[in-house]
Amino acid sequence: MASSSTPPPPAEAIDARNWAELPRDVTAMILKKVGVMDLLQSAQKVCMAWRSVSKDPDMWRSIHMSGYVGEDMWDEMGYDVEKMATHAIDRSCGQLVEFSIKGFGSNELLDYIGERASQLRRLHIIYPWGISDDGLSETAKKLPLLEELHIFSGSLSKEALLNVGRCCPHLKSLKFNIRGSRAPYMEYDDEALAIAETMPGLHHLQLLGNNLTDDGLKAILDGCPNLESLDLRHCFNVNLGGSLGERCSEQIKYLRQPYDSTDDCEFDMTFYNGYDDDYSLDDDYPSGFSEIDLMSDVVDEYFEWSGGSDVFEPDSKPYFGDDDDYGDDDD
Amino acid sequence: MASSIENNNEKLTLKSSDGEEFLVEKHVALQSTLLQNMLDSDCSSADVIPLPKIDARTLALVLGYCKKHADASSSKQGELNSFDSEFLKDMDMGALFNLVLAANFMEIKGLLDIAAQKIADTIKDKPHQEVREIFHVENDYTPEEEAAVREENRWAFEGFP
Repeated sequence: MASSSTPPPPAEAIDARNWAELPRDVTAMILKKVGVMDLLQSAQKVCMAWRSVSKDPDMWRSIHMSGYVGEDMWDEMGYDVEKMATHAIDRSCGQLVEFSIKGFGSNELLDYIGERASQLRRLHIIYPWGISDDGLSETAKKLPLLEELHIFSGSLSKEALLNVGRCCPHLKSLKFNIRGSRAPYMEYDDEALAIAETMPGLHHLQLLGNNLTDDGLKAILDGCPNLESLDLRHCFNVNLGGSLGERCSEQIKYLRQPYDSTDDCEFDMTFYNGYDDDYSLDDDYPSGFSEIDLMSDVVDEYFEWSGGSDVFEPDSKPYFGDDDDYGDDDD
Repeated sequence: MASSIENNNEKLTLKSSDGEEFLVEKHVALQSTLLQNMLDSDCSSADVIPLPKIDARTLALVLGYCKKHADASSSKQGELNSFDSEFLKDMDMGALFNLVLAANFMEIKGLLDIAAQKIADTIKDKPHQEVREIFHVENDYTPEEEAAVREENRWAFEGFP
């Protein structure tokens, strides 16, 4: 703190300050930063003024929720996060613009969004254990204004992409990421082809850990002429040497290559390359994730083998650094 | 804002609610949108600008923040970030209350943002009873509203204590 010659005010002056009487917009600003979970669980219960601010639909235009806190997944949560999410959606009164969930989610929840958030522009679903192609496809039909879809999952496929592409003509940013739950050498271009076929308006595309090949990449470059940023990290079937590499550098402004470092990924790529040090997935996950564990050795070998994978392209950082940097929600 | 750079040496006087006057370089004052708008309009920099809602202790803090941010070039973002976190680090809730009000009144977006974040961080992960104690807020919930919250709290396995 700056050293000031002015003595601190007496204690009673501090007590006299009434936080409940801050200007409403300042209180709203603070409570937005508190976040959905703490606002519903605690802050709204503090006093009537905070309760009143918390009921304003404007507080709920952007909802970010996590199904676990830190590393203690499903541990002593004391509440049903999915019910809490539906309540938060109710409070937005149809004004929801951004919805982001991590570590939970179901087709029912997506359906709830589809019915009540037709203005939605940005949807982020990270590790959504209970969401299927059908669920996302049905919801996409009800989100015609969607501009940004970020997925980090192993359970969604080309079916969802095809339907999203057909139903959401304004889609500008797609992240369709998986971690090593599939054999990395398996070649599979269906997802790339679905993107190329149905998403001509894409500006930003991230495909971490995809099994696409050079053919899939060519299709994307042909089908998405507006693409500015393309992130192909962990897409080990793509070979960016030769003419394809040249074409990429000509067409794409911000390119991340297969062996580039994932250290700056905004989501838990630690699952991918370092969770052995953090905790074992087997201990925390209820079921069905042992294949990831098996794959981790393969992925670790990739990292060792690729050695100098910390090739860094400062120019390409902005587009994959902060989710909030683009996609203005102005109408 | 080329003109503000040319007039770098110009100064103006701000007066706190408790009567203390602060001589401020113009480019520092321009961190405040309120002061910027006043200077852009007919307000002469020779005038003393009264800030009747802000006491001297708070104004000194605010101007410290403005000076640091006005003087630092944009290439020193890392340095500014560490200044910001140090700036609020040990601030008591009373000072923080005055600071967020001042930042709001003077329209200093960066300061308002970090002060609001600091306050939000204080609220996070605490039960509402504890938040009431820290912020000295009276529980003025009506029984009806309490019942409404209880009714909404279907996600919780425990109710509204």
